[in-house]
This record gives sequence, structure tokens and C-alpha cells, in this order.
Amino acid sequence: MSASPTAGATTFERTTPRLVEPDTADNLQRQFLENRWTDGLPIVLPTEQRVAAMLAATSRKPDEIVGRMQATEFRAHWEYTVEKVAVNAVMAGANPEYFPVILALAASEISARGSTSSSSSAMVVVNGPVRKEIGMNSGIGAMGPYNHANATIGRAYGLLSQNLQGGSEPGVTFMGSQGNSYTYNNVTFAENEERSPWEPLHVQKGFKPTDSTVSVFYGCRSTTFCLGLREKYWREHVRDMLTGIDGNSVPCLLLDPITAQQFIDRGGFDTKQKLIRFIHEIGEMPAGRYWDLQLVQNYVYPRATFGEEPMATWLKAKEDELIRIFPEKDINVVVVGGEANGYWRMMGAKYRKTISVDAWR
Amino acid sequence: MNKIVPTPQAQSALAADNKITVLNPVGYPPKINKKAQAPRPESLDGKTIYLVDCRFDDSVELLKQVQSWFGEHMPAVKTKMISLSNTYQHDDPKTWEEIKANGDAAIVGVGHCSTCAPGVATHAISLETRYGVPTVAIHTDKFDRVVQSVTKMAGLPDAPRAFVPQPVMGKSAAELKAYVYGKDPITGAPVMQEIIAGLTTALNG
Repeated sequence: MSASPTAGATTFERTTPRLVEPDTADNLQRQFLENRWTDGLPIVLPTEQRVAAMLAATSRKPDEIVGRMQATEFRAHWEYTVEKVAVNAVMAGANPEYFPVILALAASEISARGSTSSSSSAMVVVNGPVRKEIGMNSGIGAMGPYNHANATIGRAYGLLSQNLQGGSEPGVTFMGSQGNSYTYNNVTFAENEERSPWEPLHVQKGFKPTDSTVSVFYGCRSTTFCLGLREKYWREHVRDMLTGIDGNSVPCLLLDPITAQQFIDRGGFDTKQKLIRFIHEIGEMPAGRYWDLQLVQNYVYPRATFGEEPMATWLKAKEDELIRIFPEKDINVVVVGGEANGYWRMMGAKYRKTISVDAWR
Repeated sequence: MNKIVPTPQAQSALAADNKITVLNPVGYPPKINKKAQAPRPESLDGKTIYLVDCRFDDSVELLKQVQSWFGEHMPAVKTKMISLSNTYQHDDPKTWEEIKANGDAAIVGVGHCSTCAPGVATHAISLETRYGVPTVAIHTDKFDRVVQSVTKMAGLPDAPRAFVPQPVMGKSAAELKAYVYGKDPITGAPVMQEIIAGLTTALNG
């Protein structure tokens, strides 16, 4: 993605004022709302004292540049500092102790307010000791609004994205046709490492178990779900679920620990990698039907004609020949949930990046 | 359960009449570098215009109607349909070099999604300013303000463009012909008149 006119050797202007003109709390709340600096909900006003308290939670300097972000490819990149991230973290209601996680998300340079007409959302998975240190939820209700850290870290990610990329205004810098309510907190949760039978996500991505990390996925438009794995047709049921994942995405399995164990009991998948291979092998579709999907025509077919594998090989398949439509390397598995039951889901979401939280402490 | 940390100044900030100072949450914008348009030919007669399909949805189907219009109304103009080498998400120097070597002007389309409209606008500006090829971009009207924002930040705010109605995807040949032979829903001017003017008239001309 090299064609953006503002990527590369761009210089950035410090024209954004540091402070907002003093006013009453009510007027400032209104002003932030009218300026489209919020997600439509009330915010915690970022006073100098509150921002200073947030900044005290990292060893990084306030004026250190964290990264550059854009609403989508070919849109201008904007630049931001540690202090700018802190302002948005305060607005989201985050506790200072969450700040290294929020800085790591900002450092990903992946916008959680991406302007996709498909209305994508980010999904955030936190791994390692920081989960316990800041009291994140990986159990009952982890993907819902029941935990302060999960809720405000995810909200901060959204707010910092819209404000640090230069806006997220419908019709101008946001074109998601239907929108996506996941973006209120970007499906932010901790992996349930303690109850998972497998190695955690961040270890799969090359980190040590004792590292604290945050991983960003993107998509979250298609979701299918199921209860457990029945003895007779569980493979077929999984295959049926996979047909619900959009053609330009890949499945990320979000498994309650009960279901994770069932995948071991039913299929013998004693590692995540074995389960991932099974998903890759069973995720098949006749080539003719696959290539006729509009998203595939738009995003996969041009890459195939450009010679990118494995798509170029799929292109040679006969109309009714089954092809494996989800590359093994792109499939992910995360364990989350509190064992209230063996519900599980597949999120159509591409893995983008894992960032060290420790680097931002 | 998390311990909710009381935010400093929480009480004083709640006092209705107190004026308080807060920090601005917005990031820092890029410096805009103004760009110059390519020189325009006085006439398109005998010239070769590349029609560049961005490969999103049914862009090529709309461009076929643009090609038909030239055949019907300006037969002295040669047109060549070409598709980007890859998705619109990639710069395509090989294609731009071919157009520069063998063409006199280009029409890029269609910008009709959140990223392909910025992509089409950017590719058109690349052809115009990096390769010296007079270029018009075609978008759908839904992306008018998106395109304005992109061309402004790219340093060529008035980059030539024409709009057709949204959607293009799934429309019949007759419907797409009506788009191309009809008026730009943003400006009210005939679409093809805008395209011809965009290829032959300098912005300050």
C-alpha cells in the first residue's frame, strides 16, 4: 500500500492548538460533540491535571511521536504524540494504569475508525501479565460491557483513532454504509489463558508467555456462532459456519474454554495449529461459486491475476472443483469466555499486528 | 472488578459556572505540497485516451459506456481499455509508464467505495503530476466530499473529475449508458462534456 500521497517522507505541521478555549464543563461537552471529537457519548473532559495523571503511567515523554494514522489507504496520514494519546485515553474514561495498553494500540498505527464502506471494526485481544495487573476480563461477559478496563481501553482506541487520523465524519472521512456497533469499544477483551488448553495468541505470534501484548484484528462484519460440537455431524456443522465468513475475510475462532476442550475431545486437536489446519482443510467451496463472489472479484481476483499465491493456483481450478478458500497462515484461534456454556463463534477478521505493551510502560 | 480511579479535578469540573481548560484531542496534519497539472492538448482528435479500470465492482462496465460514447461522438479519438495490474490498493508504475509511452490522456474509474474513491483520485493525480498525463477521474456522487478531501490533501484540490450516480454495481448496460450520456449529479453538467473539458482545459484556463 504505497500509493498514498502523504506516506513516506511527509512532514507534519504542529498547527493543532494544544489547548481548547476555556469554557464551562457543559459547554465543552457540547463543543467536543459538535466538533465530532467523541463517539456520541459523554466524555471525561481532558483537563491538564487528568492528562498529567495519564502521562505519569508511562516512562515515555509527552512529546514523543507514537505514530501516524490514516482513515484508509490513500487518505492523508496524521501524526500524534504520547500526550495526544493521553488526551483521548482520558476522554474514554480510562484509568492511568491502562495507558501502556492504549499507547500500544496507538503505536499499531491501525485505525479503529477505518473508512470502509463495508463497515469494519477492529477487534483487540490482550495477552500476558498485564491482563491481571489491570483487572481485564477474559471470562463471563468478556466481550461485553462488564469490565472497566475492557470497556475503556476499547473506547479509547476508537476515540484516539478518529481524532489522531484527522477525523471520522460520515460522508467525508467515514463511509461505512451501514456502520458497525462493535466500533464503540472494538471488541476489546483478554484471552482466557488460564483456562485455555493451548498456547496463548501472543506466544503463537512470537512473544514470550511473560510478555504483555495487544493484538489487533480487523473486519468483524461477518459472525457465525454455534453451541458445542455434536458427535455425528460436528465437522459438517463447522463447514457450514465457514460458509458464513465473507470471501475477503478469514475466520478467527473465538472459543469458550468448554468448546476448546471439545475440539480436543472430538478432533484430537491438542494444539491450536492442528485445529487451524482442520479449519483450512474443511473450508472449501466450488471454484466457480467462489470466484463469483463480489468481494472476491474486487479484492482477490486481481491479486490472483497478478500471480499471488495461493490465489493464482485457485484460478486454474475447474468450475466445480473444490478449493480451500482460507489460507492456513491467516486463520486464528482465541480462547475467551467463562464456561457458562459451550457457545462459540467465528468472527470474519484478519489478524493485523501484535504490539508489545511492555515497550510502552 | 476494577477500581475506578477518581479523576483529578472531578469535583471542580462539575461546578457549572467554572471555566476550565482542556486539551485538544486532534492529531497533527501533514504539510500539503501544491502540485501542478500536466499540460493539456488543444484537441483530442487523433489522440489516444487510456480508460483505466480500477477493478472494483463493475467499474469496467461503466468505462465500456465511456468508450462507446467516444466511438459514437468523437470517432477521431482512439481509446484503449486497460485494467490495473492488481487491486486499486496498489500503486501501478508499470501501467502508468505504458500510458505515458503510448497515450495522450487518461480516464480513471470508477471511485465508488470508501477506499477506491481515494484510490482512483490518487492514481489520477499520480498520472497527472508524476507522469505528465492529462487525466480525469470518474467517481459516483456519494463520494464527492471524500474526493474533495483527498485531492486537497494531495495538493491538487481541483483535480479534474466527473461524477455519475451511485450505484454502478449491478446496473445494466442501458442504465450505465444513461449515467455516462446524462448529467453529473453534483454539477448538473453533462458527464462527457466535463470529461472532455477536464482533458483539454487547464485548471486556470
